[in-house]
Amino acid sequence: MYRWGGCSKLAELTYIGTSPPRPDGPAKASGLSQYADDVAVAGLWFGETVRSPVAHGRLRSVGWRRAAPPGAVLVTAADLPGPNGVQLIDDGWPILAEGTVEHVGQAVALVAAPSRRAAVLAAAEVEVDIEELPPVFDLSEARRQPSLYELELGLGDPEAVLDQAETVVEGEYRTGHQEHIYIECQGMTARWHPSGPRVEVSGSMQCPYYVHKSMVHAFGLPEEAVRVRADAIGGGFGGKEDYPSLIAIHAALLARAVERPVRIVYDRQQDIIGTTKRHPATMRYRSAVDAEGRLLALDVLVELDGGAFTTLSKVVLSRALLHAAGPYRCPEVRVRGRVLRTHTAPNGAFRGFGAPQVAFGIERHMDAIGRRLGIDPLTLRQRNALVPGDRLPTGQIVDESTSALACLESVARRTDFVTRWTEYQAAQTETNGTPQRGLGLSLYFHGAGFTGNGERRMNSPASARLTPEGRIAVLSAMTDMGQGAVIVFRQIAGEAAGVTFDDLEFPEPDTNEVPNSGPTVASRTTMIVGQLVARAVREVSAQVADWWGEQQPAASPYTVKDGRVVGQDGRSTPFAAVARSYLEVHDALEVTVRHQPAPGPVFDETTYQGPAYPTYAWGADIAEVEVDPDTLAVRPLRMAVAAEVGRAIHPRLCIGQIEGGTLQAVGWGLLEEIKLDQGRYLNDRLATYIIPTAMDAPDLDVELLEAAFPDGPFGAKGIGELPMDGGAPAVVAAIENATGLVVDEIPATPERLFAAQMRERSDD
Amino acid sequence: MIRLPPFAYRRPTDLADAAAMLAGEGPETRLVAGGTDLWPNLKRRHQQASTVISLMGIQGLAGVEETEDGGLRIGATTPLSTVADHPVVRWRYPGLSRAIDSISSPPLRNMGTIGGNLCVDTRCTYYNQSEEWRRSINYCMKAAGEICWVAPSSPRCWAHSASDSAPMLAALEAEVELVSTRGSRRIPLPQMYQDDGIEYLAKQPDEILTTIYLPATSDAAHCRSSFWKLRRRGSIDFAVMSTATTLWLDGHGRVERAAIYLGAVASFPKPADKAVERLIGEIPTPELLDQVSELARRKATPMDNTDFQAQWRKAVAGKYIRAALREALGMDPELLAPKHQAGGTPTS
Amino acid sequence: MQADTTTQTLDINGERRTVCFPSHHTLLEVLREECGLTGTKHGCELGECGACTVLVDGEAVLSCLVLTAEVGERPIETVEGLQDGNALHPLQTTFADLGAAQCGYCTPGILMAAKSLLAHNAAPSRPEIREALSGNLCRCTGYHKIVEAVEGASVLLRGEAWEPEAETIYGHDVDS
Repeated sequence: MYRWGGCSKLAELTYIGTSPPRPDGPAKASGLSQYADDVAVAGLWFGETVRSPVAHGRLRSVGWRRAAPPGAVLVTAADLPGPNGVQLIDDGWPILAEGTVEHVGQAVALVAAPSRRAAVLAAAEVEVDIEELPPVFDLSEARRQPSLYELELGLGDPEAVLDQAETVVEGEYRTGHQEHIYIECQGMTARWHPSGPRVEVSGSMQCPYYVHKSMVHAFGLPEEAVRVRADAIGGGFGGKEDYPSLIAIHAALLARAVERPVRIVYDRQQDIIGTTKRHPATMRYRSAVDAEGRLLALDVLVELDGGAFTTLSKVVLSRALLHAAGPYRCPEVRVRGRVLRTHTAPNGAFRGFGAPQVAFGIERHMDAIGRRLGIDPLTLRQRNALVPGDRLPTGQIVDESTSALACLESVARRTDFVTRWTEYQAAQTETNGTPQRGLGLSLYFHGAGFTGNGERRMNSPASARLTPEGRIAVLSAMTDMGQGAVIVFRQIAGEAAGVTFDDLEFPEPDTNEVPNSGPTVASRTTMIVGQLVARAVREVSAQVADWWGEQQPAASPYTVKDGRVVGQDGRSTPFAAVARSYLEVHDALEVTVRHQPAPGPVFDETTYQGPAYPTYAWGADIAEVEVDPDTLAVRPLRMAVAAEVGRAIHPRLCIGQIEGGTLQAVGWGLLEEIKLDQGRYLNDRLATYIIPTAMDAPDLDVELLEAAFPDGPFGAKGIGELPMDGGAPAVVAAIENATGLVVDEIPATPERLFAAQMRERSDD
Repeated sequence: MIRLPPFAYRRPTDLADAAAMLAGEGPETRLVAGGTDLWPNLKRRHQQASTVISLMGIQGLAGVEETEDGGLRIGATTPLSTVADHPVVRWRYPGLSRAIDSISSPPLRNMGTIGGNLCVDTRCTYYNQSEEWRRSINYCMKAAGEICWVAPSSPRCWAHSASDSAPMLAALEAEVELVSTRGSRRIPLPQMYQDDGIEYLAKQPDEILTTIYLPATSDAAHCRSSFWKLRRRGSIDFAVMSTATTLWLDGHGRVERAAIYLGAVASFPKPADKAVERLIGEIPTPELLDQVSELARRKATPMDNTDFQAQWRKAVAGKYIRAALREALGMDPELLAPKHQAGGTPTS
Repeated sequence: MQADTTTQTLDINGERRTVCFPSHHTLLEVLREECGLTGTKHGCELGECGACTVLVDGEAVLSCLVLTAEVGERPIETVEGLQDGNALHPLQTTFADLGAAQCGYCTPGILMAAKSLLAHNAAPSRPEIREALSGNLCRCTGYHKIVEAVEGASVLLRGEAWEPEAETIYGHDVDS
């Protein structure tokens, strides 16, 4: 029924589908990579942030408790040279608290001093006077206040079907905060040059141009007066998409005040307390199904806790709603959502960006349907999974690369799912105290690229130009936070231009040097920007070859292959030599290309109809767990994952992304929990906000599938976020298979399972 | 960066000098061995120290040797990994190796010492928070405040014992030697502790723990020991409850002596005396162990001073103790073993 | 109070350096700040993440909790000393080949812990590798490739040949 290409075409390609070593590998393995706090800067001062100890209050005063410590400088909102807002989607996120404080940990003031220790001591000398006001933490209270955003999308009339249906299944599902825990905490260094003025910022960030835009807005400077560069990045996962703009502005404010370079580096406690997290979500699903479990109608309500300010909540909600109905066919769908405001630190981007939350919701809901009708999880999903030609709730028709069924087949085959799931199901009540095993299945999909018309609006450019040595310099603003853009782009460029890696140069992501090809987010780097890179270098390479053909018409037309310009007579010349000759005559060759949206319907942002994403990547997980029926401790043994990626440019790295994302999802599902006490995060260190160690990680068995996406470079889709969507529902379903316990809230800690067990026993 | 506060640092090479220094310095003087407890506490401002006296330079204070009576003498500054890996310990006191292997993480076991672990600070969810957090809720009494947030009407502090080696060594009937300028004394390990979250050590401020003595035992068949540590992950985390058991069996499989100590359920390693009484003179059967573990469970009253909800800990404690007892006697524990015991992922 | 300072000659990666530092500074701080060796990283500074792992006398320790003044003359090894001139250590080779370093921030600590493991155990099993690395947090990789890389390095160190397993791509006709 469905065919996946890939293997047979690989023979024609040199780099695509191979796994060459990453160029930054040796530096990373020898401690030479320079991360934000590694860069030596002469005359560097250090900044510290003074934060609100209360969740909500009127800020009466901020100042030194006694005299200013010698050498230390204090900056408050009164010192801001421009609007008090970090410009992301809007500028409602204050740079420094002014008038009121809205969450524990909100930045109220900044201090700078000549040494780290002096800065810490100085920060302790700042007195903040706040008159407390009643805070809102509880979602039920937050509901009574105006929401930050609301959205709705749908197809058909699900209410009508739900009213008539014989079988209606309802459920409520909850997910909590998740903290990124990149191992490198946030850090920025700013240098302010009074003549100009000009400012330079460098540090740990995913999106130099996001920082650039927010700096221009905050300081009222012309664009060319701000320079932003990314250092080596010790992990991002979305946490360094939005937050860096705030910390960059902070560092720049201090640099401006002391007229010296200033570095702000967070310690782990500050990082956990102050930075953005995944939006907690509450989701209500109502579905009508037929006797075979096919979805007839779906009504979904999604509520996200946005925290005190919107950073990117609007788009998180958008992506959540667009994925809420899951990878399933359903003729009548309505999805409504809103972002609620609480007096907690603002939540923001985190790998998946709203999709993992609703993937948990829809997958647990499918499990509820299967439970009601006595249908096993695999059969139920096979019956409902989208196939090419089906319609999403936005009206978008899913394309030929839709691979839901193939992903299910891959994981089911590798785990002998149906047989063993059925056995474990039957064994639930037979426990004599020994640990029980269970399997859980999840199916998911993830729209690649910016949501809606984001790519169209950004109209991102990438450039390629010849260097004096005859190489092709590839210019984009994409950063490598570990995901491997440094090597994937080399493979794409080498393949597209017919040159070797030695013929390529990749200038660092520096806003002075590279165009704004958009942020390194939304699973867009390979698929969207990689395609721009391919087009740009192909054009440069073709122009060089064409010109050579004009000079030597006898053997023309020339092609470029393996770094050589090859004639029809079989003779060839190194590309670099030809390029240098070209430059002797032409001075320069630079090509800039911009993103070309696919022809066809355009997404309508008022009706939420149309193609919300150019394509989707697909995935399925089967988790195998062992559960102790007495303690309800859960040991995840193995995750079998199928990931359909369009084309795996670098299979090893691609699998590495899937492995890492899967463990993050398993951690979110079982271990990770932010505990709030009166708006304060109780767990503010790595001993209390716990992520999986090597002893907690299951075996990871990943199989890649390929179904080429024509508009991606060599068929590649974006996949960075995909693995985040499936791990949590799969482990929770596995726990259910092992024990019969139904848990619809994560993390599925022993206490939650115990509470479910108590509920069940009192129902009996 | 989270820095240590400045302090005067002393590194004596002689035990008598160290004792004299300790007696002579003021009240904010602390001893340090491996530093894995004191340095984080100083960094997070749980504790203060104007002078720190390191014990790591003192000759003869580290090392594991067999004594003439067939027991073992362990120097207090012996690194934890050295103790756990010592062939005599692994062979004759496997519970001790198991207990030490569960402490924290491998590098910290290379740095931390057995003496340091015996003296490790007590812990509580309200105390082990950042300075800002503790200030914002008004400091608890362990942190210079006046109230216990675990039990607000209680006049005492309820921080719990956080040592894994202490319950196991107590169960193994260990003795310790304490040295000061006033002389030295050798006492059973449990007498080094007292029932208070703040003043949890009965060791006087001017005394130095120098040596741990383990009694003779011919082999692991004669003295069965086990240690089960309950926590969320397979590494790093402190115990929310631990069970250390030893059973000394005669030639007929009858229990001659026994000890059960629970960690993290009180401010000191808590003995389950009634449970032990029930065992003496008996041949252990599964039914007997069920009764014994229920008796021991009653000593494990969970409070709101550690991770995991109290209700869950209460439900689980008895089963954990039972599993540890069964394992000590070579029976199937019938419980999922702690992750660190299973050696990580089973299938890889 | 004013800080005491200590002047000490440290043996770092086989090189002796005389350093003057505040007595209360940890080895992590002295390595990074006084010695300019920024390969060793800070991730939590409380001993809870392993990013700062170095070797002292061949044993893995967390430098954020080691008082420099305690180290004395014992040899210190950091990630900067792993390679021998231009020759990469087998651990560095396998980490680079397998993509076991993604963002690379946990990598120095993991390499040092792994080096110590392989010095004590020439053929560790995968559970033993996981146990030895159980104090080193990684957020990017899921640990799988890290474990494979350490295993691969142990093979290379024994003088045997090693090739990473080839990735397989699934693509087949599922016409029924």
